[in-house]
Formats: sequence, structure tokens, C-alpha cells
Amino acid sequence: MFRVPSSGPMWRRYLRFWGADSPADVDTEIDFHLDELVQLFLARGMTAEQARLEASRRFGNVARVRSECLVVDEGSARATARREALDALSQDLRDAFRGLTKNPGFTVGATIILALGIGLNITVFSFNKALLFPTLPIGDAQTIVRMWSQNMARGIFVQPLAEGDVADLDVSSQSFEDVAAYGVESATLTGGGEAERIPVVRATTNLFALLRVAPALGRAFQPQDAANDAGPVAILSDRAWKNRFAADPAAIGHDVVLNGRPHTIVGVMPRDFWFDSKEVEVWLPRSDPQVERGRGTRSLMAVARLGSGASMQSAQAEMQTVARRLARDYPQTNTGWDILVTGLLPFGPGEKVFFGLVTTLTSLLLAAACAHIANLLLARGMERRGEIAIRAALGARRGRIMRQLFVESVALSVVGGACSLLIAFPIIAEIRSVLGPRTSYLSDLSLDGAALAITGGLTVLASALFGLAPALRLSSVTAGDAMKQPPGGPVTHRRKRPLTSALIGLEVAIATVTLIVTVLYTRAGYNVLAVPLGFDTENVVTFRLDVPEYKYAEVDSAARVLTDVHQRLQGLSFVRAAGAATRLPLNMGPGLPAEAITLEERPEIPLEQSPWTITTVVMPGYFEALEIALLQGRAFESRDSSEAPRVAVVSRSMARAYWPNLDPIGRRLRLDGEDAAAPWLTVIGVVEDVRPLDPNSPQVRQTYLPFAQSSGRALVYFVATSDAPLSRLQDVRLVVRDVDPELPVLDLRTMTETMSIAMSGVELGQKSLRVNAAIAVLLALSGVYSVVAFAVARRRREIAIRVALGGTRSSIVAMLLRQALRPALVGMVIGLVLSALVSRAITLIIFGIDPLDPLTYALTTIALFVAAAAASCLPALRATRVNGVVALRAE
Amino acid sequence: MGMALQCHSHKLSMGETTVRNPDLLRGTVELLILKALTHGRQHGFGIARWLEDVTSDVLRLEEGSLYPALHRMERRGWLESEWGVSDNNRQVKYYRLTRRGREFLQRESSGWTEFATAVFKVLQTT
Repeated sequence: MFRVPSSGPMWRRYLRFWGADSPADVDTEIDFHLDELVQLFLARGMTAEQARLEASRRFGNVARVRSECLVVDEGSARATARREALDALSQDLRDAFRGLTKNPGFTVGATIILALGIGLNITVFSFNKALLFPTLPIGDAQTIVRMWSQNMARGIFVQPLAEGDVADLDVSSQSFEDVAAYGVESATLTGGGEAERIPVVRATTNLFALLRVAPALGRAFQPQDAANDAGPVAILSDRAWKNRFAADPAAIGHDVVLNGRPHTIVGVMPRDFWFDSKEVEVWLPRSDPQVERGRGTRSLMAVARLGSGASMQSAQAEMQTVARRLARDYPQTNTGWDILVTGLLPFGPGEKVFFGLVTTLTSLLLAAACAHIANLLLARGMERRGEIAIRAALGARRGRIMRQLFVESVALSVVGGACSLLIAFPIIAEIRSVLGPRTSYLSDLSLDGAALAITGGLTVLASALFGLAPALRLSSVTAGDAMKQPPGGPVTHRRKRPLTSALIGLEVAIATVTLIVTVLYTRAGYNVLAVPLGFDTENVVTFRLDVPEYKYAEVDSAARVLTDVHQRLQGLSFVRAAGAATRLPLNMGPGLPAEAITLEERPEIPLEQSPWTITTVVMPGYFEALEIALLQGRAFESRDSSEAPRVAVVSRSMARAYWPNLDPIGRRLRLDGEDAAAPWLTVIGVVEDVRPLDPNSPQVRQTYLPFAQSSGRALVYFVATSDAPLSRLQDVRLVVRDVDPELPVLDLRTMTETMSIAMSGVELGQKSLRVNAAIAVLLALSGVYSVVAFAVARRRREIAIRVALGGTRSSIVAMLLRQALRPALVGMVIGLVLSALVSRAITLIIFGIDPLDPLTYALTTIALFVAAAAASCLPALRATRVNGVVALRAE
Repeated sequence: MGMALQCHSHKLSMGETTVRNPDLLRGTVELLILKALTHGRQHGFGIARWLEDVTSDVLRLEEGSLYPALHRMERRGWLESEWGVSDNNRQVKYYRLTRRGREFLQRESSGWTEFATAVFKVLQTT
């Protein structure tokens, strides 16, 4: 049924200006049609009733027609809205592009700054995330902890545990659901072509269950696998399975020959599984730690799964009690030793401080970059007051103008964010190549998407806000006002720029703190270098030999190979001295096993001084090749053979610790790890200390033993050459080839290179801080510069008048400088306070320098101030050179 | 006839026999509307009268079904509409052909003629 005819109010049509009122329009159309039909039929002589019925019949279903029309209209309304929105957006984007290209200097500068700020932050955050929150192929990795021995009195931050200690804490601990122990070794793999040394992990059979990982193929270890009478079994990594067994599922049940002994393969781990290191190819079972096994040798790694309700803190508290009890029960071996509970990666206190520092400084840099962009946008906004006012006068709504400024700022930060990838990718690649080989946690470090999203988002937000600021500020200015002013803006507003001043202050404060902290850290780095290493790295070639068991089954035959190489090296004409040792002379980090010793003449020693030493086995010529000074007695000679009385050379700090004010030569000591019946070692010489890498650590008490009396399979050689070592690498290789052509010469390098590889992590850290500081300072300087430049541009007229009225150049420059340098000074004061706070927090990693070192603070601040003054002088001086008449006429 | 219509079947009847095959008449209403508008702007009622007039009332359609068709054609850009005042001084929506609508009509009507000719020939030969 249709409604009573009505003409409908005409005013409703006008509402269409504010959008279509589709239902009403459709009704109007339908009503008109029905009314006309009725009129038509009435005219043909029907009664009103008949006419209405006939009209209704001819029209059809009103409700259906109405709803079909509405469906069509709604669709088109949506399409129109979409099209209009797209049109507006593309218009805004076009405008933004035009705005940005009109001022390429601004755009390029801002893009570079944003790219640097964002790029460095993404890098740092990706790095932190890879180390602190790694995605590991382990079930519930967050409840896995590691345990270590710690002895701060000896400067040992982390060291593996003693087997007896692991057994003890496993039995007594309440915090852990399960404890597994393992050791990393290398084994000779034979049977598949050339023999190879490969890293293997020998773990208690519960390790995989504890990690909540099951083999992809075959089975995990079972407790009986570790039994003495069980046949040896092995589990392969996916890589080993693919490379050595061509991913053949039938490999299960086959043998892999390790150290000449066949091991039955019982399982293959999943493709992406790794634990500890990605290099591990084979896992072997080991028996559970036994309480009665020794406590003096600390070489077992321990991981544990936290039980429900336990946290790392509660576990640490419990372990403290356990360690105290162990020290009471086994004073000989456990006095002074703590048990440390860490996450999977144990960060030393210094590392933690350094990460914190880099993260803080990079975040500050991002803040400075945002502040800088904000200032640029504000300045530009003010420059564009005229343009904006004209557009407002021409009818552009304020919303439209603000939207355009918004789009412009966002476009800028999006471009900056995109360019930041150009900065982040290479840096990340460099970190990966330098540190990746050291730790599997960084071996596929990549750009973190979340870091990019958060950093980029923050920057977009910041620049959008500051991009809008000028538009908001303009709300108080009428179009007429703004247009009456020269493009620079009203002179009366010149002192009302608190936002700009605050931003400049912020930038300078950040530059100050970054610069001071970096200078402190760099000076500390030089201090570290200034501490004598205790050995010389010039003109030395190093390489490693690892004599395989499959070819030289007896240790003696292996030792003969190593000795043979040594003797031949000594015979070469260009060789000044040749030696070898079981490790590099750098005393760094964990992993240097300290051995308990007994001194012959002082059997009764207070326990906290229970004597210990770190042993290094060396070939004669070692001290000469590395120029480690002999202080007393003699070095090893060929007469110290396996038949001769056992001898030792000790380091200066060892001699001072155990034989203070006594002549150490001729004193005797015994390694507790050796058989009690083993003969005493007689001290025949004292050499200079080789410095620990971290100079904050206590000196390492070293005992050197002659290779002839200890033997072994692997040595690092040090060949001091009389000419450039680089040219001698090939000669050295030939010597080894003469002894055994199949013996691989590993890591053949100059000592300088070896050292720089060892130090590359530290250098990377220093470089990152320096880059950060350089950018922060550049930002601050260009911030100060642009404030003055902007002020000059705005006040050209005023300056011209002053010049015309006889104002001196210096008074005008001073006036301009005041404007920029006042906030800069405030920023510096804030920066100094911040620096004091930050450097206090990093005392641990700035060696040999007072965190409040007045010289650093004073010089850095003065340098920054002078640079800021110079940066502001440039535009100010330029302004005073302007010909007054030209300047005035220009407006 | 190329343009596929979505789901709106027009209830058309020829003489007293309702044509049941919607495929045959798909697009026909649109074509007729376009044709009706070649003489200038018109409202829905006017189009219905023109159709009744030129087809001598043979082709009878429910006049209401013109409106969804008109709205749809407007959305496609064949027509545009404007509000105006009718002869009896009531507000009414007028439709007029756009350039695109005119082109479409030319293209389609020649196709339609060919089709109708073909059908006619076939019918004559049997």
C-alpha cells in the first residue's frame, strides 16, 4: 500500500548538500509514480478505489522496489566515499611531495637524520633482542637456567662446574625440576672420506627431555645408553645427517666412527635444533655426575629446568646456600667458590653495563633526531605561515590544512624510516660477520620487525605531532594578520618560541652526555691498551695444529709430530724464535681452568688463600717468540725432556703470591689434579705477567709446563720472523707439509691479525659508541645552526634597519647568538648532570679513569660550546653582510 | 548482450503471456530505458508512459522495477539524475543520458538488432 500523496517538504532537498538522504529520496520517487498512476486511472474514469488498486498492480511490490533501490544506492554511496577519500589522499600526497621537493635541502637533511636515528635504534634493538630474548629451538626456553662456578676473588666471573658439585646440587636442590650436565669436546670423525675434527657434546641422557625437544628421527638417549656395558650410541644433528648421510632415514642403526670407535646412530635432531652452538654435529651420552668424582676440576656445563614456583632469583638464593655448604664440606676445593645462576647466555657485569649504555645512548640519539626534525618542521611551519594563511583565506578548511601538514610529516618520516633500512642492514651484516662466528646467538642476526615497527611508529608519531604544531599555533593568527607580515612572521613573536628553545636544549643535552660518555669510554680504551700486554705481537706468525687420533693413535706419536714441526721451524733462516703453547697468551673470559696446587714448603695455608694456578703447556722458544720477559732463573730448554726432572716456569704474580720476599727458584709445587705420587715440579724461572684482557681482573697466576714433560695433541705455534710475517705464511705452511702433507694448518695468520680478531667485539663496541656520539654532536650543531639561520631569515628586516641605523656588526651577531646559545647552555648544564649520572653507572667499564674526570668534562663541554658558537656564527655573520636596502626592498 | 545483471529479474509480460526466460530479456529493460531517455531528461513515470506508448502496451512490465534499474544505471554512469519539478509542480527526480550511456546504447542496440534479425530469420525458415 502506498502512502497518502504528499509533496514532501522542499527543504529536505537542501539537506543533500550535507550528504544524500537516500531512503527519503527513494520514497519521494515512488510516491510520485504511484500518485501519477492514480491520477492517470482516475482520468480514465476509474473510481478512487479502483484507481488505487490498479496503480498498485501496475507498480508491483513497493517494498521490494524500495529495498532494491536502497541496496544500489548504498553501494554507490560507499563507492563514492571511498573514491573521495582516495582522491583526497592522493591530493595530499601530491601536495606533500611538492612541499618536500620544493625544499630539497630540508628534505634530504631530515631524511638522513631520521634514517640515522631510526637505523641505529633498529640495529641496537635487534641486537639486544637476539641476545636477551633469543628465539631458541627449545621448549619453554624461559624456564631454562644455567649454573656456573664463580670466584670473584680470583676474577673468575663464570667457569663450568665440578662434577661432584653438579651431583650435589642436583640431589639437594628444590628449585629445579631437572638438571642436566654436558661437556663440549672435539672428536675425530672418520669413515666418510677425509678425517675431521668435529665438535661434539657429551651430555647426560636427560638433556633433550629437559630441553623439551625430541629427535626428528629415531629416539632420544635413554638412561641405559650411558651404562658402562652399553654399546656406544650417538645422535646426529640435522646438518651432520644431511652432509654425511645424505639425509638417508636408514642412517638410524648405522655407525658413525668417532675417535676410531663406531657409535650406533639412534637419532637425528630436528632441522633447526641447536643448543649452545650451531657447530655441534654429534651428541653422545654420558653418565650422570657422581658425588665422589672430583671437585677440583671445573669443566662440566650444567643446565636446569626451573620447577613450578621457582624463579631465577629463588634458584640463585638456593644455590648460594648450596655453595656455602659445599665450601664448608669441601674446604680444600670449594672455599671462595659461589654458584651463579644465569639465563642461557651468561652476561658478565661489564657486558651488561655496556649493552645498557649503548641502548641508552642510541635511544637518546633517536630522541635527539626527533627533536631535530620537530624543530625543522616548526621552523618550516613558521616560514609557511604566509602560504597557509593564504590558503585559509581562499577557503581551505583548517582541518584540510592540518591534514596536509600531517601527511607531509608522516611522508617524511616514512621515507626516513625506509632509508633507515639502508643503514641498519649493513651494520647488522657487519655485526653478524664479526660476532656470528663467536656465538650462535648472533649467527643469523637479522633486522627485527618489531623493532622497526616500534621505532618507526614512534618517529612517525613524533614528527606528526610536531608537524601539526605550526597549524595549531596558526589558529590564533588571522589570515589578514599573517599576510600583513613579511614571510618571516611577526617580529612580536620572536621571544615566544619556548618549544624551539626546549628542543634545542634537549639536543644539546643529549649531545653533551653522549660525547662525554664516549670520550670517557674511549680514554678508558686507551688506558686498557696502555697496560702492557706482557708480550709482543710484532712480526709473529701464528697457526694451530691438531694432530688427529685416527692417524697417530698414540699420544707420543702425535707429540713427535708437533715437536718435529717445532724443530724444523727453529731451523729456518728467517725465524728469530719459534715456540708453541696450548692456547693464545690472552687471558680472557671464562674457560681458563684454574687448578688447585700444593706448595711444598707451605703446606699449612689459610683456606681463603688456597693456592691455585692456571697452567699453560709450552714448547721451548715460546717466551722468546712472544718476548715475554724472563725475570729470574731460566726458560725451558731442550734438556727439560721427559726423562729429566719435572720443571715449571711461573709468572711474576704467581711468584709474588706464593713466595713473597723469597726466591722462588728451586721451590716445588704439585698440581692437585695429578696423581699424589707424581713428582714435584721445580720452579726454574719467573717470567713477566701476561695481562688479563680485562685489566680490572686480578692478574692470572700462571704456571708454564714444558711440552716434553706433558705432551698433547694440539698446539698453537708462535713463529717470530726477522722480516714481515705476512710474506712467511707460505714458508710456514711448507714446513708442516714436509712433516705430514695431510695435516691441516689451522688459522694461519699474523699475530696482529689474531689479536684483532680476538678484540673485534671490543672494537665494534667502541666504534658503535663513536658513531653514535658523532651523530649526536652533528645533530646538536646543526640544530643550533638552524635556529640562528632561521632567526636571521625571519629578522632580516630588523637586522637591515639596525645596520642602517649604525648598529655594529658585533652587536648584531651577539644579539643573534644569544638566542641560540642560551638554550644550548641550559642543555649543556643538563647534559653535564646526566653525564655524571651515566658515567657513575658505567664505572665498571671505564678503566683507569674517574667517572667524573674534570678534564674530560671541561674539555668536552668547552669544545661543544665553541662548536655551537661557531655553527651559530655562520648565519649570523652572513646576515650582517646583507645590503640593507636590498633586504628591505625584498619585503 | 554483454552486460550481466546481478539478480534483479524484471517481471515482463508480452501480451497476456509472461515471458519466463529472464536470459532472453536480460538487459532489455536497460536498453529500453536508455532509448526512452534519448529524447531528453525524463522521470520514472514518464519513462513508463513512453514504454507503454511505443510498445502499444504489448510489452508490459511492473513499473516499479524501473526504479532499481534506473538507480543501477546511474551507478554505472550511464545516467545522471537531478531533482526537478514536474508539470503538476511536484518535486521529482529526472534522469538523463550520459555520454557513456549513449555510447552503450549505440553499441548494444545494434547487437540487439542483429540478434533479433537472426531469431526472426530462424523462425521464418521453420
